[in-house]
Amino acid sequence: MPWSKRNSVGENIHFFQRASRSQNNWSKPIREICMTVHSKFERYEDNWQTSMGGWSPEGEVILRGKALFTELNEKTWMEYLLFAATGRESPKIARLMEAMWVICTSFPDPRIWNNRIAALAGTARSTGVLASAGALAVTEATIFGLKPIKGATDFFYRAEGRMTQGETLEEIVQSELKQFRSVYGYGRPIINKDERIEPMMEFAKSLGCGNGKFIQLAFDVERYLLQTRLRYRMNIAAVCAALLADEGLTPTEFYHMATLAFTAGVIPCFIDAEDKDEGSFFPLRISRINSSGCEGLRKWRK
Amino acid sequence: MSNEPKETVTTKIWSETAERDNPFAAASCHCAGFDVYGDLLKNATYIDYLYLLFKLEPPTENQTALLQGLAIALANPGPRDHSVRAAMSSGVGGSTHAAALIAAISVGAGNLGGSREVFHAIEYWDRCGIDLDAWKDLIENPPQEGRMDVWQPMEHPPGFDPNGVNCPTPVVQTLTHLADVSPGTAFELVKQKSTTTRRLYRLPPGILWSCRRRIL
Repeated sequence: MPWSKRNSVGENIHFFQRASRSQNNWSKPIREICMTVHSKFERYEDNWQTSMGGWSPEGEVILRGKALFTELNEKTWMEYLLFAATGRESPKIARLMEAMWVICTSFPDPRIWNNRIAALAGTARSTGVLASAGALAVTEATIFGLKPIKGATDFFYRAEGRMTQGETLEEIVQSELKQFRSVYGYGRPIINKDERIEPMMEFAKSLGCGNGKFIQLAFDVERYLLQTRLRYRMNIAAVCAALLADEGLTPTEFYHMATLAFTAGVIPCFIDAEDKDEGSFFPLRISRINSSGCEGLRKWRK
Repeated sequence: MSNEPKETVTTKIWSETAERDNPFAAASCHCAGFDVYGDLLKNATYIDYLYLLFKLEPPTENQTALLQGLAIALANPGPRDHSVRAAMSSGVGGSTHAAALIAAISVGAGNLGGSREVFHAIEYWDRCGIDLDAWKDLIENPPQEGRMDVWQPMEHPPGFDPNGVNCPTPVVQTLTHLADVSPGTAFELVKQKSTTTRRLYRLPPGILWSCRRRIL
């Protein structure tokens, strides 16, 4: 169902069922990348070819080949997001993902790093959307949030592949620790045990999930790490990653699906701080600054 | 209020003394030992202060000249640039000014012409220095990511424009100026070997290739 639409500034969108991503030409021979045109951009001017979808002034909206108002209109928001981000249509995965958002990702505590951004925005009287934008950007963190979510899924796929090749779990975990000094999904700042695992697993089992090879692998890795001197326990990123890997989600698909997962914890922290006195969220007196190594007075050269 | 010891913010950058009547207001602020409002305000340029904030030492005259030139070269890439287009998309719809900045920074952070490319380019400089053979080897055999990250792997050698045809005049002008004010060897490599390098890698150098050594 190809269609092409031109907007008022002349930008064309050509919609196709399939459009492959252009190959990178990093290692191609020079004669292939030397175009007869002056720039390879010329063929892209006002010409965006996509199989993802678009809107037409006649009121048609297409997402991944389906019409929004007639084929996708009865989906829940999470089902629609799942289809948008991954192309999958699965009420079961959408429901599992929704439970993860509720149980695992949105604690309304302003001391949590990403929520703190929203609370600071509230106390400084910024806007709600700027608060959420800042907080969600911060959620792409190393010790919590998006990097462990993507990284744990990636680890399970790599580990499973290596085990198929004959490597032992111990060899895989040890090489991961040696190369990266951590295993995404294991260990947790502040406390080791993760209180979210039990309710999440309980809900997953109610949907018929929680018995696949990746979740078994996740618990096997925890059992091994608890025997080491690190004594790392599994955290919720590993559980969610393994549950979704068992449903076939890739690391990148889970990453995209988790982008907005933290909003229900962020927004109440903004509202709470905005409702209280200006600047009253954890103010710091000067004595709370511990200056180290910069006490001596210096004079700037003119 | 409890009498438990309170957590503090440990910093090498900043120190303050309190006003006598208000423990939450600073009477003086020092950055890396320099009095910000009593000294730097009158005597330092913004570029000098920017350098001080990151390096905790004043820049040399050459470093100031390099950073000053770089700041002007990068300040506005023009309305065709991805990050500026992001800011304009924010402006045209009446979004907040902060949204325009967030939009521009988000787009301008990427692997293509953004701060992530600068990061990778500096990694390449650290590994190769002015050894052209080392550059050739690293570009032909780029580092492999061991595990997935939120950043996608580079799709072109960092510092080179994958969509360029030849080195655009503003880039040449910037390189020439920066080489003129730089006492170091890195820009000499870019200047002298530019043609060779382009032939070698079949790509035109971008401005990012130059954003380096004698500055930081």
